Amino acid sequence: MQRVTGTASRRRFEAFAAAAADTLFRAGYLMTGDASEAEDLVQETFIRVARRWPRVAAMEHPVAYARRILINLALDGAQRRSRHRAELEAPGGQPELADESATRALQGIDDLAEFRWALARLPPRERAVLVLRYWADLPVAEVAAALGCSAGTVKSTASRGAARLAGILARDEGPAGQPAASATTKKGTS
Amino acid sequence: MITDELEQELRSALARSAESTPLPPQARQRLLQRDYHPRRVHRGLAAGLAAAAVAAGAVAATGVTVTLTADRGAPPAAAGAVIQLASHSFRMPAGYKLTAATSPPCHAIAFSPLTDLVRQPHAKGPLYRTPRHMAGMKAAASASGGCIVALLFRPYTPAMSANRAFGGHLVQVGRYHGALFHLRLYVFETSHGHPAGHGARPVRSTLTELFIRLPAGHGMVRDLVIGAEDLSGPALIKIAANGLSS
Repeated sequence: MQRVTGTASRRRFEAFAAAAADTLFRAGYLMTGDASEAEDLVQETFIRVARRWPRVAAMEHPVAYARRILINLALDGAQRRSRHRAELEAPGGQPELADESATRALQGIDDLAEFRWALARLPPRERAVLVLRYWADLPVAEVAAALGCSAGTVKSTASRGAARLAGILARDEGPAGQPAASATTKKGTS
Repeated sequence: MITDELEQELRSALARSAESTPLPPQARQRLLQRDYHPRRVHRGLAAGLAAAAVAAGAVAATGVTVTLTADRGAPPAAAGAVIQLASHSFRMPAGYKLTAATSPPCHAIAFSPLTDLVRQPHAKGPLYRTPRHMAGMKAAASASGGCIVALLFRPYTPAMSANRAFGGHLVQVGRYHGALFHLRLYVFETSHGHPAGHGARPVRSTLTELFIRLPAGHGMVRDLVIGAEDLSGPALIKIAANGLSS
C-alpha cells in the first residue's frame, strides 16, 4: 500500500515537473538572462519542491509556488554574487524617465536581445518585481508576499524599475557596447 | 505610479522575451531525468504515525504499558539515530539512521567541509581525494535521500575570532557562537558510492552547514561542523544545541 502511494506521489511530481519546467525556465531566464543559470535555478527549485512535495501537491497552484521559490533563489544568488563583485553601476545611477518617455522607450523595442540586456542590468529586486507583476501577472499583494515586502514597496519598486529599464534602453549602448539602433529611433520619436 | 499604457508595454515586452526563450529540449531532458526524491508524506505526519504505531504496539503488548505511559504523559515523538561525537550526543530527526559517510546519499556532501569531492563542473582533476578528517566524520541518512554529516575537528589554537574565521551568517547555538552557510554544490552522480565515469554529469545540490566553535581548554578550540542536504538552518541549530547541552 505504501509502495503504491509512493509511486503515485512520484508520478504526480514528475507530471508537475514536466508541466512546470518550461514556465520556470522562462522565469529563470528573465531573472538571470542566462540559459545555464536558468536551468540551474529550475533544478534547484525542483529539489526544493520535492522536499515539500506532499504540501506543495495539495496546493491550488503548485507552479506559482515553485515560481516563487525560483525567484527567491535567483535573488539569493544575485545577492551572493554582489558580495563578491562590485555592481557595474551604483543603484540609482541610471537616469530615470517619466512614464511617458518610459512608455515610448519600451514601444521602441524591436530587438529582444536589447530588452533582455536592459532587463539584466536592473537591480535584482526590481527585476523580480517586474517579472512577477507584469510577466507572471500576479496581483501586487501576491508579489509582496512572494518577496516579503509591503504592497507599497512593490508599487514603488515597479515604478522605479520600469523607469530605470526605460532609461537603460534610451542610452546609446547596445548589448555588445554598440550604439543601439532602436535607441536612436526612440530618440527621434521623443 | 505606472500608467496603464506603460504596464501594457512592459507586459508585452516581457511576454515576447519569455516566449522567445523556450526551454531547450536537452535542458528539459536533463531536468526531468533527475530523480528528485519527492517526499511521500509530511514529516510531522510521519512522526505522528510512527508514534501512533509505537503506542498501538504497546497497547497490543500489554495493558500495563498503557497505564504506565498514561502516568508518565505522552510518549516521546519518534526520533532518529544518535550521532556521538566526543562527549556530545546529537539526536537526528525521525527516520534518520546511521550510515557510512562514504555511502550514498551522504557521500556527495560528506566531503564538502573539505571541498575535495565537490568541485566546479567540467573542472579537471581526480573526483575523489583522501580527506584528512574523514575518520572522525559521522553520518545519518533518511530513506528519502536526506543526509546529515557531523564532524568534530581536532583542537587547535585559534588565530582569529570565530566571526572572522567563519564568516557566513552568525548564529547563536545554545551558549556557543556559530555560523551558518548555505552552499550550492556541484556533485557528480555516482552509483553505489563509486566515482562516476569520465564525463559524468554534475548535479547541482544545496547544503546547509553549521560551524560551531567549542572551547577545548588551554586556550584551544575545536570546531564542530554539521551539514545537511535537506534540513533548514534552524533545524540544524536545534540538533546542535540539544546535543551540546546533553
